[in-house]
Amino acid sequence: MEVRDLTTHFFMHEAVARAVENVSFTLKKGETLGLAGESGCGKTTTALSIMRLLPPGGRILNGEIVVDGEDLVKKNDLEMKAIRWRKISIVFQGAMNALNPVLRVGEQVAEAIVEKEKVSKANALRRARSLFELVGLDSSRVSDYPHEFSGGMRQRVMIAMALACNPSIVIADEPVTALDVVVQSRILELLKELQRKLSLSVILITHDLSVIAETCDRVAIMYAGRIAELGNVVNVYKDSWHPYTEALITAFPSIAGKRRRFLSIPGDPPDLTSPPPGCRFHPRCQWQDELCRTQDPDYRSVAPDHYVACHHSDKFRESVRER
Amino acid sequence: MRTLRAQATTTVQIKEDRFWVYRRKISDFWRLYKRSRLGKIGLTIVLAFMFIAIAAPWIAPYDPFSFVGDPFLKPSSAHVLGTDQVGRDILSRVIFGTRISLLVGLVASAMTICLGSLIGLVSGYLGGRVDNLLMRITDLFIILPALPLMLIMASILGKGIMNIIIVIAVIGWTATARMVRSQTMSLKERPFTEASRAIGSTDLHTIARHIVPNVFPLVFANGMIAIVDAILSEAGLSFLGFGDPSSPSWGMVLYFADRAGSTVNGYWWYIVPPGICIMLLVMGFAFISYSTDQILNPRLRRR
Amino acid sequence: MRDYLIKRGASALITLALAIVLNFFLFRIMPGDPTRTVVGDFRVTPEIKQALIHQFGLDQPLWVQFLLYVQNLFVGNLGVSFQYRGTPVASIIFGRRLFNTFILMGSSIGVALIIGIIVGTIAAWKRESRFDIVTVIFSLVTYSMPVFWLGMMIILIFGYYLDAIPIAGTITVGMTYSNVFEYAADYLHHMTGPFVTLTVSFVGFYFLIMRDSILDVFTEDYMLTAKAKGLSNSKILFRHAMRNATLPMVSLIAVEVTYLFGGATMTETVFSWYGIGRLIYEAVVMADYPVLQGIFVVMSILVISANFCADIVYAFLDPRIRY
Repeated sequence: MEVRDLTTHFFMHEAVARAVENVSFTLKKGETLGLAGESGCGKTTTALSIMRLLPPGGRILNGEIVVDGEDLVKKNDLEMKAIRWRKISIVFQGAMNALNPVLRVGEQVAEAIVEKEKVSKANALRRARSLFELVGLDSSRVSDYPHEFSGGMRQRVMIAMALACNPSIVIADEPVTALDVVVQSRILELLKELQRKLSLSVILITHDLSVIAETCDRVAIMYAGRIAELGNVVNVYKDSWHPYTEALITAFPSIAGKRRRFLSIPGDPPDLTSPPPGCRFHPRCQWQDELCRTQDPDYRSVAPDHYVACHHSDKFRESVRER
Repeated sequence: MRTLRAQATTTVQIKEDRFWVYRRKISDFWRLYKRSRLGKIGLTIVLAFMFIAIAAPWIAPYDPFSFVGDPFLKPSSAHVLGTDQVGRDILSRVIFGTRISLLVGLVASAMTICLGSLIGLVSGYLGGRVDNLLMRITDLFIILPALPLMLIMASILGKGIMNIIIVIAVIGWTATARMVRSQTMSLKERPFTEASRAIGSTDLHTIARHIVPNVFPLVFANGMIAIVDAILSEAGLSFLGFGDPSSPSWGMVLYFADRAGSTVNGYWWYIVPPGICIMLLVMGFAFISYSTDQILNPRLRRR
Repeated sequence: MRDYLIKRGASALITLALAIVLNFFLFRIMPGDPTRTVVGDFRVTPEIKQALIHQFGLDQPLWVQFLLYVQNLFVGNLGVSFQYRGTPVASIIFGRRLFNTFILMGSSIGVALIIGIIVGTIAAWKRESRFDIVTVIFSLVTYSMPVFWLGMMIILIFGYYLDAIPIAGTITVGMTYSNVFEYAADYLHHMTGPFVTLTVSFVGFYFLIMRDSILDVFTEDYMLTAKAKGLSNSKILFRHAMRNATLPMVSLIAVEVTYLFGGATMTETVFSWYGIGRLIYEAVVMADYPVLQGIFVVMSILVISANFCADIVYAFLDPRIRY
């Protein structure tokens, strides 16, 4: 998938929230791309834009989302319905409410198959059962209701459901955020295994950098609706080019190493209805200057397959190296 | 001495701040309310009727109680809505009817709300056996058929405006009680209630300062529905003949219209106006209720 | 689920018991001579009067009277009517009247429910469209109309001006019929007026509640999941949304049952429909207390059982209770 200059705004009564602006990235076949950032930075909006599932008030103003040579932005509702779940599917967080409480889970998994591939309900249910086994659930549980499952198992159901029509791309929006740590690692393992087995391309959205480190090949760090840095996970983590990335990573407490005080990033994420002029991160950045306050940094490549949007990434890296 | 004065000024400061908080809340509410077309229409209708009620003696062409013409006159320039079976001007009766219908609607619903809120607050806050008992009683009142009960009570108490108001209030408090109770119970669990009690406030203080302000918005919205119910109940009671013949509410006018055989004789001028008035007034309050609900109910706002 | 039903059933029985007690005392506190409640001012022979006094224990202490009352209740003895000169109340109520009211109310509630639910669902889907606005306003208007006035208007327009429907009664007086169908046709012809009145009166309320409920359901996460699966609109609406939206409706409707009786009373009075509603009116006017008391008991039983049925239906529809 290729996303180019995606811009999505939310039009509300009194103001417009510029949720996503000029976001570009590529999803390579078979890889896991992470979308990381604080709450409200536009990760979920990007995912919803790709699936064209924006709530009323949300509109894609600009950009292209190219999958298999077709631009999804230009598709109408009917065409998108055909694409959804067949080419791209999505796993939501907090499967607590994401599953319909009055329908059996097997039916919920199977209905997409029945509708899209025109197979009989019996066949679809059979497929559902095998999908359950694939995700590590007892296949006899297809006739149970969502409230009879625990949180982790519900997430497995969501994953099974997402794989129902053999999509090539899966978006996982905070798939493990609502789960406790032990279950988290199991689900992440499952995702990795499935991706390998079914050669999926995955976009993993989360605010938890450790999850990204464990599962992703490349990562895009988002801030206030834009991508601050994008590149190979190891490079981005160990050799950041953007001050925000470094701040994020150092903010993460680590069990290993010296004990130190919590380092948080001063200030708050900006109000997206009136973001700061110039670089959106400048109010919280120690390297900001007149240029940062007035001009949007370009999103440019600083190394093979490594992109940054910052005016002073060289200066910043100098000071890091000195440290 | 200085500390006392400092304390005094701080208290005044807090009171003033609270005033401004409420004022801001009200102006916020009004700002949102103005956006709703239905809300504005509803408010206009209600205000128009209130104006008519107040200005009735000056607007009405005749005295609604006097016999000013021949009976059963059709609409004409002298009597825009004709005359009834004893020669009273129907238009004047309808105009004056606004007073009764509005009065009964507002007073009865106020009593309903007060009674219902009181029971709901007590029941929700105290819980336990008191709650059980009160809820059983509430259930009973819900089960008993409203209109027959009203009819019986009306026939016991006899005619008279106040009696009708009492009847409506006594039968109608259940909905408010239930709603207030569930709100109170959920508010009771909230941290600020625990905090209030932890610092030693009396129960009464907690209820008054913390629970009531939070329950109030929903009670207000519910109150509009109570007004609607009261107006319709009064109309129904009067129509069936249990109203007060000496105070011509719209329902009462329709009662007389029915007695005069208006439907079989085609006296549309007798039937249509009072009914339309009831409908419009009720609609006005229903619109207000709908718009208020949209604003105050957080779940609705999400949509 | 069994526990749930048992709890509900027990609660219903307790309420019923309380209702019977209340019923008894309500009529005992009527002003005037206590024998009035059973015998009235009507002229009955002294022997009958004595027999009734004995039967209802009016010469005995109150609690004995209560026991006798309950005893009589169980054998179906509801006393005798005043206005009908000693006809047993039970036979007045459980006869043509109940049948007529049932047919009228049953059909109008049924039709109003179906229309309200379906149109409400569609209006919620097409929110803010012309269809939505028109139906909402129509519902608010009919909801605001007093039932009896609507009846009068229908009589005026269709009875007086258009001469399309009869003005009063259940059947034409004095007519003879050659077969059942003619009778049924005449009956239905007479029922048109009250039927339309009641249906129009009820439908607005059901519509508004259903629309509200569906809009509520739309905010749930599983609706987004359904959309994400690319299901057809009708599947999303009817299979996912409606199923969940009807749940709160069931409980709401059960509570409204008492108002249905009020509406029936008004309509039957206006149209002189020979049913229970009109009986209430007549009984109050004629101070026929035994009949009133009997009706109260019957109505209480009906309402309590309706509520209990609603509980059962709810348990059926909501798997979270069933399992």
